[in-house]
This record gives sequence, C-alpha cells and structure tokens, in this order.
Amino acid sequence: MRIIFSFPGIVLAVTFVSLPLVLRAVVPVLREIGVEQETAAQSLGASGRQVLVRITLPAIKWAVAYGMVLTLARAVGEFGAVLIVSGGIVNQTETATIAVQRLHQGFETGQAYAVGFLLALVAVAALGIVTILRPHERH
Amino acid sequence: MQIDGSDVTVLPAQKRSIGFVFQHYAAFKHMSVARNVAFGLEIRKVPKARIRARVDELLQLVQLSQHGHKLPSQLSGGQRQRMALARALAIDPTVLLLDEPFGALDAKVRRELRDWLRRLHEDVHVTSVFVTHDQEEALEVADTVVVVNEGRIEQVGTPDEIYDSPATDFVFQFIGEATRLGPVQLRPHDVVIRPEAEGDGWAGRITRWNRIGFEVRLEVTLDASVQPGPVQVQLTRTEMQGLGIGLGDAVRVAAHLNAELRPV
Repeated sequence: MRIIFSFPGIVLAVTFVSLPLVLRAVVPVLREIGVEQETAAQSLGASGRQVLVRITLPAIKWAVAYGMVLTLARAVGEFGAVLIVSGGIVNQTETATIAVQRLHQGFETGQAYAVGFLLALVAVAALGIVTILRPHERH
Repeated sequence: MQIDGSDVTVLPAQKRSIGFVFQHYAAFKHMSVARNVAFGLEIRKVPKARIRARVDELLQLVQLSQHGHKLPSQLSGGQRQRMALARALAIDPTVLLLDEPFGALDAKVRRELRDWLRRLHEDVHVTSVFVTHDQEEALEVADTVVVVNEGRIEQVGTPDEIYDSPATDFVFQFIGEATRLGPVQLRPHDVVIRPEAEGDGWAGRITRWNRIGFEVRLEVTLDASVQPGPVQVQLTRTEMQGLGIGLGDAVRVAAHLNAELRPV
C-alpha cells in the first residue's frame, strides 16, 4: 500500500498529531471511574470483551465523543504534518488547508476565502458540539 | 483453594461463581437498579422472562421493589449496598464474599444492615465470607469468626469462644477492650469498683470520667509502685449512680469473680 503522498499517509499523520486530544479527554474519566465496576462485572461472569462493551465504553462514551469532536476540529485545521506526507497533489491528496495556501499564493483570494470560511464553519460547529458534550458535567 | 471440592485457584475470575460485594458498591452507574441486578443473568444468556422474574424476586428480597427503575446515584448508600448484594446473589454463587461492605456507611445504617443481613441468611442459604475491621460487626453477624493478624490466623471459633476464651493475647486485646490491673489483664467491664471504705482490692483515685450514653468509662490511677498506667473501668450509668462516687474520689478496684484474667 502506498503511504507517502496518498490518503493513508494523511490519515496516519493526522492520527499521530491528534491522538493526544482523545487521550486527554478519556484518560481522566477512566481514572475517575476506576476499575471497581469492571472487577464487579468480571465477578459476575463477564468476559474481557463483555466488560469493555457493557461497562467501560458506556461509562466513557461522552468523553470519547468529546475527544472525537476535538480531533475532528484539529484534523480539519492540520497543515504542517499533512503538507509533508501528502505532497499536496491537487484533487488527490490536497486538504482544505493546503488548498487555502495554494489558492492564496495563486492570487485566487476569493476562492481561498471561501474555503477558509468553510473551515471556520466546521470549527464553530465543533465548538458548539464540544460545549454541549463537555464530559465533566455529565456525571 | 477449593470451593465445593473443586480447585478454583487457577480458574479465571468470571468462572469461579463467587458473589462479590465491594466496600464502595461498584454499582454500574449507567444502568438502572434492575439492570444492575440482571447483569450476571444477561451475561449468562438466561431467557428474558426468567431474568425478569428473578430480578423481581431479588429486588423484593432486598426491599428495593419500588426502586428498580432508578439509577444507582438516586439511591442512598444503604440501598446501593443492598442492590449490590442482590446483584451478587443473582448468579446463585457458591460463596458470597463481602469485603467491608458497610465500611462506607454511617453507624446507624450499618447496624440496621447488619441485622438485616443476618436475617437474610435465614432465607438465603449461602456461605458468606464477611471481611470487617469492626469487631462488633464480626461478633454480631458471624457464626464463625476468623481473627487474622498480619496475614496469619490467630484463632477460629464462634463469637462466644473468641470473646470468652481468646487463644492469644492478640485476640484478647483485639476483640473487645483490655486493661491492666496489677499483675493481670482483663476486660474493663470485669473491673469491680467501690468507694474506698467499702471495697477491697487496689486503692486508687478516679482521674478521668467519660460518659457515652448509657455507658460510663473511668480511669483509676493506682499507686505508681503497683502500676504506672491507669486502670480502665467500664460500667453502666445505673451502676454508677448506685455507687455514689465521682471524679477525684478515692476508690478500690478489683477483678470480678468470673473475669477472664490473663497474666501480663
């Protein structure tokens, strides 16, 4: 599979830079709930997978959603890492941020603004969703 | 380790069929009380109708029938622990382990739950191992008490045996209180106290007076050549009123005739 200058490469790079955001949202919640519920589930006969699906994931679902929205916002705006691995091939491996740069440098300011506005909309939407989800207030 | 003749030491936790009740409830917070209780049965793929019947039965047993639809966070501590007990009983465990189950509850609720747990075992015949740091709790709830000190068993016996004939000094001091009187140790309630003119025994003076409800705890300081520390004495308020003595009075203290005495 081709990685550099292709879609999988972009996914890898973005995952790498945004994974900490998910961890930062999920780890404190995991710490707070502890392992007691999981131990209890095990003592009642649940297997590792059943514990994960029935106990752990439901307990952290809001934190995961929160992390995912943050990740989305971060991924949409990612420029540096993506520019390096994607090569910015127009209509193939070009992301919105790279397009903004290309358009702007080609003096197509109007189009650059249009794409930029789209990015801004996504960011505002993410902000809205994050405000609704804020995991600390869900307990 | 064997349960019912089969070795469970190497069995993974979910196959041991031991019911666990934890100190901090370990309630499944996102599930209703009924779903909590049903959990073990759902895992075992028991038919839905039978789960419902069993959950109803268990909720009735732990007196939570009205609360099945609530979330654990809407229950009081005592109710949550009863739910945890129903959840553990749902899988028909061969042994029930209760790890300081009432440790997080206030004294009054603890006493109620203790009574209730005792009565529950008249209906539900399951062997239970109850870990506690509360001596009173152990003596009240158990048929057999095992006193463990630093990982070693000090004594195994009925509550009466443990209290009346402790096997070691540790057990004597650990279960109930102990005080020194001259060359022996004994229980503070086995010390007989009289005004100096009337009684016999060691002469001393009441140096501390502490009343807790119906109970009076005294400290009697003897002559320093007999023993340096004070003698603890425990008696009821009624006994105390009959004696007509108070803080600072000269008294005599002796061991009760039937007292369990241990050389120091």
